[in-house]
Amino acid sequence: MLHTFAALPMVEESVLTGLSETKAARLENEIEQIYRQTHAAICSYVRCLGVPQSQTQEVAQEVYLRLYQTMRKGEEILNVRAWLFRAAHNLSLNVRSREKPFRSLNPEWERFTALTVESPERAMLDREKARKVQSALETLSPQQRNCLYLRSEGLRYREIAEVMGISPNSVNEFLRRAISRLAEAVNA
Amino acid sequence: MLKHSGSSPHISDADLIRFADGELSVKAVTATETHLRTCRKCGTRLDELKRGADSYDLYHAQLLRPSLELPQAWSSVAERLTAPKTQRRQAFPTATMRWAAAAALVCCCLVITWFLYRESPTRRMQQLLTRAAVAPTPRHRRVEIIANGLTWYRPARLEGESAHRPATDERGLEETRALFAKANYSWDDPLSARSFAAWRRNLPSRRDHVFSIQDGPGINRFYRLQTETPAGVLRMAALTLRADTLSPVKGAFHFEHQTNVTIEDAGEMPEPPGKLETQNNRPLARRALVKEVGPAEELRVFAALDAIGADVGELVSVDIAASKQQIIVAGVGLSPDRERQIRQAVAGMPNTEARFTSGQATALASRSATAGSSAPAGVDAPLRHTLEQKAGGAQQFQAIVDKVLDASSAILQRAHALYVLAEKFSPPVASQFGQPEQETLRSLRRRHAIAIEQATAELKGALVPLLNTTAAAPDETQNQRNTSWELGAAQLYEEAKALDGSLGRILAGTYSEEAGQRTWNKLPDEIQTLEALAVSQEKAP
Repeated sequence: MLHTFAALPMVEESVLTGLSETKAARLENEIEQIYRQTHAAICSYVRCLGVPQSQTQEVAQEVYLRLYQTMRKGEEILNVRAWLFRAAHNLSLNVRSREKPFRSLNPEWERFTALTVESPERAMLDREKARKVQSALETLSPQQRNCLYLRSEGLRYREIAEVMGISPNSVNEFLRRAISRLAEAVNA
Repeated sequence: MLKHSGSSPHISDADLIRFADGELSVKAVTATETHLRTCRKCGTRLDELKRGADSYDLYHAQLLRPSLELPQAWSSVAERLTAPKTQRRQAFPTATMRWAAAAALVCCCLVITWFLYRESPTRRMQQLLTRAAVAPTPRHRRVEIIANGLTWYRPARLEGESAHRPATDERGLEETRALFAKANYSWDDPLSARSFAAWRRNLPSRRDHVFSIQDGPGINRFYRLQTETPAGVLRMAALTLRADTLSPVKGAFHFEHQTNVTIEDAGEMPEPPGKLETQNNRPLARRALVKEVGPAEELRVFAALDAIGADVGELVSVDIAASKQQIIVAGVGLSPDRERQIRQAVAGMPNTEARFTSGQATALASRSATAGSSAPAGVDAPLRHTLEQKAGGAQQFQAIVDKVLDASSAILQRAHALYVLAEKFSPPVASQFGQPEQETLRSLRRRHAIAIEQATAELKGALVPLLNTTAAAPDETQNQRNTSWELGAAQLYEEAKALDGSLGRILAGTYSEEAGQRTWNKLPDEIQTLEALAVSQEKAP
């Protein structure tokens, strides 16, 4: 499999060798903390972007490797979470298959019902609503879905814009269309 | 900075979403909160958008994310962090290696493309026939057979007795049937990929062609599979398949001695299969037929018209023909563009025909029906002077009048549309519907009701300077007595007509001082009643 990651250049080896062992261990520890807090979100986002499951782990690992290299270089990262999503976004776009995102996903409906089961009626309503949401999502463009995804991950519009390489106004417009469509679906 | 939608005084959806997401500036948040305190429409819209966004958040947190997560231990990442550079590069090769691999891949692609291209027609046809043979084929369809300058209709597939014993009406087709038998081409199922493939497979020599055809820009795409052979009586057969479903729509057969036969899909059969119909004794050649149309089909036509806003205030009527086999969409005095839009909206709907006539419109729900009977505007009356003073001058008064009458017209049109739905799809009729149709009806009703509420809010807002009162909230309890929505719809229509009449008279007509004052005093109650009826329509099950 051929990979090209033009958006994030490889770090020179000389940079990596210039760090003391203590600092390297501290940095590794820091990365581990970040990894534990963000890995699930990053992995899911990579899969959401259409990367096959078989390649998801590899892409996610590469994201943290890039983070490690960047931090070792001493570059300041103001918002690590947004940075990770951006790296995941760029890497995923390069390696994703032609498979359309969402189509290949098979949501775990049983798990969903189990999680929301206050009462059978409530579970049925939630499930019905979730099906409406899924149907509406299938009518959205990939950008609209990505904006929604990142918004639900707690990113601000400015951060979503950075991740996706678009303007905050475009993010607002994508979200407007997406949420209007969802509102139409669930309020019908 | 807050943006309002167009010339509307309301907040745009984009800003409402930004407001809900905490993405507006402090100043804009204050302005939005102030607006939301007085604008019910924006408040309702904000709630709708929030419900949409919240539903996704729930779906995201409880279904999507858990479905996508993959377990991975930190140790595997830690190994890669500390691994030597060369090892990392095994997974992500160097630029040189990547270029070499890319070049090799391009070469492979070129070779494969050339190979595929060399054999494409036969391979492509094989692939399409294999896929088309297993594609689901609708039953009870019929075909149109054109041979010797005559047209016959028969079931697409002859089964059971009809397959072995030709019907008497098929006499004119004996010769054609014999030709197909001689060519070893199935006469029982001539318009199918399987029959075409079976005939093609047994040919000693053949030449295949595959054409991709498009009706027009953005319209249906088809494949035409054509096989020619120098042997046998059938020299050329071509099968046209829809590109999306791979269902056959047309077959063209060229026999020796210049005999041509064309077989086309003629839609579903209007009656049970088995009997042939000839053009002479039954001239029914319409496409996409169903046995009989009913309220469910009529409702689908309403929904299609609603999608283009043609069920509201248009001079369009929808009715089931007396034969019960057709839905007639009739329009009078519409522009050619509107006629085209309506034709497009109902195109492809079974047994539906759009008919348009030009000429003077006979408005059903036009404001002119009520206001038109009045004398010209601008009559000198004390009440009018008072209203002009309240509005701040004649020009401002006229602007208010225009706005109010527009809103009233919109209310009347929607109320009429709702009334038509109530007339056609009363609860006994709707109870026969399946779940999707009931949902469609509910959605149509709700949209009309919401539109009435919005127009009423606009009307109230416009009248505020003249009435010297703030817009009162609708009194929903007023109409709790209405137990069925169709009675409410009829009452709503009557109220809308009455209100439109009052507004027409008071703002653009003539009246005595006493009558004018009486009408004017009634207005707030009329508006409130109408709004309450609209709210109860929206909430009706």
